Amino acid sequence: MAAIYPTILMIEDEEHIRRFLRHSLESQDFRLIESATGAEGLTLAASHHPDVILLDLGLPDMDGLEVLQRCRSWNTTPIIILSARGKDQDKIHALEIGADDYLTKPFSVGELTARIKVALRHSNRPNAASIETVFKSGSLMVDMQEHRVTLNDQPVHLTPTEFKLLAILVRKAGRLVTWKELLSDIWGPTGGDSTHYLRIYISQLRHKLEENPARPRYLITEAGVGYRLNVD
Amino acid sequence: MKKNAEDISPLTVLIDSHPASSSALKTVYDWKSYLFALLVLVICNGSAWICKDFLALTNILMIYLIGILIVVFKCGKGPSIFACVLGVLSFDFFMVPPRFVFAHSDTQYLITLLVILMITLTISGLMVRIRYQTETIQLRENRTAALFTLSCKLAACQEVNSLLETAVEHISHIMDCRVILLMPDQNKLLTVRAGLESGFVLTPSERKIADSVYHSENRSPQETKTFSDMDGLYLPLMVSGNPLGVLGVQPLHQDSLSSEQQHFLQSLANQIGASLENARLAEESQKSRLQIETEQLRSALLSSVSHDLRTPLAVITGSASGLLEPENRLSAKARQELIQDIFDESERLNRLLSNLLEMTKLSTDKIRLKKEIQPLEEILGSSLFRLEKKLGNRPVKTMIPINLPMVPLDSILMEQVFINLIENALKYTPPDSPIEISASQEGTFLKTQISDHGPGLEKDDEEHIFEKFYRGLKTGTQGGVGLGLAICKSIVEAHGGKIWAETRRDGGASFYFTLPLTTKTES
Repeated sequence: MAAIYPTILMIEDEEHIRRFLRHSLESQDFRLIESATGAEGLTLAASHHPDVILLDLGLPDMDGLEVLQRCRSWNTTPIIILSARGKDQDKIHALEIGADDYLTKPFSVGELTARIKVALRHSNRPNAASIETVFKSGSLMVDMQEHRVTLNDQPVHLTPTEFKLLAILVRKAGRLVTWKELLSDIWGPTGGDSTHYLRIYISQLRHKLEENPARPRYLITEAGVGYRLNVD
Repeated sequence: MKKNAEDISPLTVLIDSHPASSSALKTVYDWKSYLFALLVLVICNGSAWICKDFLALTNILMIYLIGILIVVFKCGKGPSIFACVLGVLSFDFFMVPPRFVFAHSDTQYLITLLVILMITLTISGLMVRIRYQTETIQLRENRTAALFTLSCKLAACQEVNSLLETAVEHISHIMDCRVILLMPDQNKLLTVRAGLESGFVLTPSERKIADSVYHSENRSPQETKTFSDMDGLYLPLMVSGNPLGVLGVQPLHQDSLSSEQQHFLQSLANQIGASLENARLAEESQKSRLQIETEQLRSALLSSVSHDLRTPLAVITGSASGLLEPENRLSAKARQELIQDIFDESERLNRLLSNLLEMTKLSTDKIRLKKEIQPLEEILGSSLFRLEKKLGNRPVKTMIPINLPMVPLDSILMEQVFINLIENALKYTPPDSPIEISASQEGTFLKTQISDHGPGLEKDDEEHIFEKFYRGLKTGTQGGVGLGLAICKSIVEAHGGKIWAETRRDGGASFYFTLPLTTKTES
């Protein structure tokens, strides 16, 4: 597992996509293993211990969601879903059953490498204790230990719930956090479906943290799914 | 008497109009009528006794006559005859001297008795006829009302299944019967389409009868009478000589249905047939309209595919082949340019395709909205974020009031609306010209405005710009299929809002759309 180059397992049946991913990722010093079917992919995931798995949802032999579920039953390797456009329900479902992120096809290599790096960063410090206590992005600074937030070095006052919300997003910075996760993290399992509370808090956060709340830099909405804290 | 169609009771329509078996008249023959006749005569005797000293015998007879006539008007034939005989006898006995005996000389009063009896019988006969006619008229009125209600109810049904359900419910209510409707399925086999829950039991032998009613050549109502000794009666639903289905009726409280009732049922069945035909025709015309639309869509699609999709493909193929050619000694800059072209054109292809896919998705099935209350700002934010790369350094000014109410909307679809409108502005305006986006509350609606500083729109554009495959008059060389704005229109309208475009006085174009702030109860 502790290879010099991070290993990426790609489960994708489309030959052309595999080829362009291979060329672009290998040129960026990733080691790549490939599989065209879900079954082979699962075997490879077990035998090669990849650092990140790229999973296509439309596989010839089995549903990508099933591959994801089986993977999650025995390991915690970050999984990034590569999905076709217009399957939002699948995306949400995939995130709920344990996917770490998703990319909608077509995507650029730059986007993919950014997501892979975020995933690697998170998997390298698996427990909360080792999380950096200070998060910085642009002019935003969040001190998790001190519960302090500054913008352009000016302190920003947040309510406890607002801070809690921001803290969750900071802990998963760069990654997509679904509404369900946020709701249950803040209000517990009874948080339910009251996404509009969440929207109000996010809106308040934006008005405090963003220069232009209608064109946010940090708190990004993924329509129909959840939020993402943007890192530069 | 006017009857509200709703309160037609089962009995009023069920009354059979044959006098011999009339249940209404039978009720008049009971002992109460005789008691009534007796009472009237006792009164007559009493008044005659009072008047006997100052009235002539002929006038006293008139008192009895009045009594008898009262009985005739009120009761049937039996009590009338009874009153007549009793009246003449008591007149003879109490009034004609010698009183309290039937004297020999009294035989002349036999003539009186005969005459009065004749009058009684004539009047009684007339009364029965009038009563029968009134009942028939009443019955006909009720049936017309029932037919009328049925046709009204059926006309309100737009879909075949609800029409069948309504028909079954209505008939079983007014006829006090179990009712089913059978119609042929794809394999031309009769299947029950409505009314099974009433407890109608369709035995195999009855199914055979229904089948024969449906398939037989001669389907006059009389034909079906041969089955009246069966449990159920089966009538064809006829439309211009062709059967559409079969109506099955099982009376709840009678052994069989009279021919009057069968006639009535046949007219109900015809009514249902006509309504079914109407519904079918409406469905067919809807289908053909849809087909024409699809046909138009397809031809428009083909013509646009040939041009708009081939152009980026040509660029991609050309640039890629240039890069592949080993003899070509391209400078690093040239290579970079070719690669950039391939990338740009792929993006364009992707945009065209996703718009096409979106449109077919929106037009094939009715849009199902996943509405959630949220700030408009959030949707605008995520749309702008997704457009980050395309926006580049283009100045975008957003003016969203801080106290703008949240609005129920489908975030994914609404994001598409913003993206399409902003992309549209990007495409048709100079690269550095600003784009302004603002929102405000107007009554129960939220109005959004997206303005650019480009060349504006032609008058024709303003009207047609949201139509599928419409390309603006000033589009020039810009590629596109003409779907982006059509998609916006279907999404906004699905939300219950409106979308329109205007050219502002200072030249640029403004696109507006409204969204209702309240969720209406969706039908």
